Amino acid sequence: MSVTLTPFEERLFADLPESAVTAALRERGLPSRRTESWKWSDLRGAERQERAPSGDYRSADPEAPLALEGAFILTVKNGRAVPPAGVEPKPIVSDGAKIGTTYVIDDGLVVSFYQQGREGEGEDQAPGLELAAMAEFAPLVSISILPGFAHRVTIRRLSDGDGQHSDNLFVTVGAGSEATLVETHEVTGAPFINSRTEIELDQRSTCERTIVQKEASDAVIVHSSVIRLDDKADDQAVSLGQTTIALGAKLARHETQLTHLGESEARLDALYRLDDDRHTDITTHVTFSGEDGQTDQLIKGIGDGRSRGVFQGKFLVERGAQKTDAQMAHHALLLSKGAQINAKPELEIYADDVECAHGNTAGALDPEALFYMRQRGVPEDQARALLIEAFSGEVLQRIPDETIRAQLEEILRRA
Amino acid sequence: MLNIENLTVTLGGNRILDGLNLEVPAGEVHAIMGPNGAGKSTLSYTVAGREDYAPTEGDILLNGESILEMDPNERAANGVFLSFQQPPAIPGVATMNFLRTALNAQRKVRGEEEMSSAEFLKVFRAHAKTVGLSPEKLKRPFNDGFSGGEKKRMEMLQMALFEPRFCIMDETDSGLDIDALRMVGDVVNSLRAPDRGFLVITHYQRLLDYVKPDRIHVLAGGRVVHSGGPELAQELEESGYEQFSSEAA
Repeated sequence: MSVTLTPFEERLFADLPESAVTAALRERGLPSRRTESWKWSDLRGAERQERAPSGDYRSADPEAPLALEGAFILTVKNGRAVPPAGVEPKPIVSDGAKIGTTYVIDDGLVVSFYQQGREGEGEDQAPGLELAAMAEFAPLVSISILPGFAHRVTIRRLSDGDGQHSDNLFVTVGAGSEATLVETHEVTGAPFINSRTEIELDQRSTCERTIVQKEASDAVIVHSSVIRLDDKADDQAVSLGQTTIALGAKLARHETQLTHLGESEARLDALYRLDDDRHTDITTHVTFSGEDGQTDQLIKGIGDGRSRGVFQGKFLVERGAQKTDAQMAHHALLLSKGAQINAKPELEIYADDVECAHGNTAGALDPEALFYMRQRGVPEDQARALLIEAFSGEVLQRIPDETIRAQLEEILRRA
Repeated sequence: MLNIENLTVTLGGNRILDGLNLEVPAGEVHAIMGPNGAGKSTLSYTVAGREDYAPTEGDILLNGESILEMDPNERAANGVFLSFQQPPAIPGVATMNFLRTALNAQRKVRGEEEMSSAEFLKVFRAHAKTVGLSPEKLKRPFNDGFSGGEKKRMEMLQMALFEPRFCIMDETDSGLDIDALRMVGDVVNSLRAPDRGFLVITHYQRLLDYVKPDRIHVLAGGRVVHSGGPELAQELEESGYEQFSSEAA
């Protein structure tokens, strides 16, 4: 049964190329509370009014929330990547026609801007995965760290206005290379943003990724990450560390689809801190398709005001993915009566020799600790702040880079 | 020093303190003894200002000034210190950061200068040595992984550190071995001063072998039913609280 599209959907889908995904979107509409994987993040309900594609970014560039020393900075303004300054552009030609521009940023670091994204040949997607597929139609920007190199890359997504835009990034971390990746969402105004980052970690590579989404009370942000971790080689497993810091939006969804192709390690953490009416949805779906995959996940959330935090975590252990070791923990702290937390941990296991566990808690600040600190002379506000910092500190402590950790502490202190 | 007048506290519909009167003059150590459920811990929480422990009647005066309208941290800055019966662990909060924050917050209220990190560290280390807590333990989050006895040592460390005007010790002796009891005695005796008072809440006489009280009060049914000199402890040890239960009823 097909739905009647909202004016927002009509306009959004009008520019998409004909494809199975587009057809499915026209048939079903955007994910809504009726879509199992979006039941607490009603995208369809949140967006009904027609929005034109975003125009040029007109706001001043904000101060970068997270500075990474020596990093190449790619700025994406309202979905359009800004060509790197001072680097000679070289055309990318296919069948005699220019299809994009490539930039050699440094030894072992190449960035390519394509004029198009994926053509219309895409497959149909299961309900709930359409947004990630839709972003693939946006012009592709690829960032390649060539085998054996170590590079730091910051991707700043700046958005303003009240239109809608998508971006489509592909990061390749070559064999034996080392990537430090920071991605920020810095929003003014009330745009609709559909971002995608696809990351491929080749054999023996490592990647430490930090995503910071600053508060954006009026914006809708969907950021889908699709990550593949290659199998172990030469006795060295691929390793990914990921930390998402999300401060909420009118509706925000940070979704990670991670696949362990074999023996590899992932830390997949997140910390959301919400106030007022803000919403954040952290959804992770980890597939173990080979032996010895390992994921360790710590998600923490702090809800104040009338905010809503959502965590959905799924581990899918496929047949033959023996010796999988998967741990998932979600802990939420509710600072007000009006704040809401929804959590859904899910394990789907088709192998028999695996270790999978999940834990989930929600509660208020410990009244014993609070009274104790006040009895020692600490004013209530300060005692609460210390306890909240202690609660979130557990996630930040897992970030190996001290300078990143310190900057994130500062961001949270100001939140 | 501390004057408690007609203090009445109701918790969950039960009158836990029922018109309690108590006076501890400056320079003295008073002990409160009494059976389980007599209201001893309620008394300590009420003086410290815990939420939900607001009295329905009566007053608490420290050096002639009512403290009832003060927040717990203001009471602390005014010199009220409670050694908790069951001190909590506070995971993620660094011990020294917390205690220096607390000390400086108190000093700020009193209009005193902040203590520098270096000065704090020096004082803190000296007290840690006195109470027998190792420097390794103190690098951990507050009371994190501490045994019951270590937590009590931490209470005594803080009592020495904050130099409060009035100390309430709620069953500090419970769970302590002889050496630790002696340490508690040493801390209290070193702090005894003409302008400082102590209220020692205990079940047993044994702490009072190390901390000599000037007066002992028996708390039963939410009020002081009997008071006497130090010899009362021995008497209670032998005959129990039974005789006072009827007086309370």
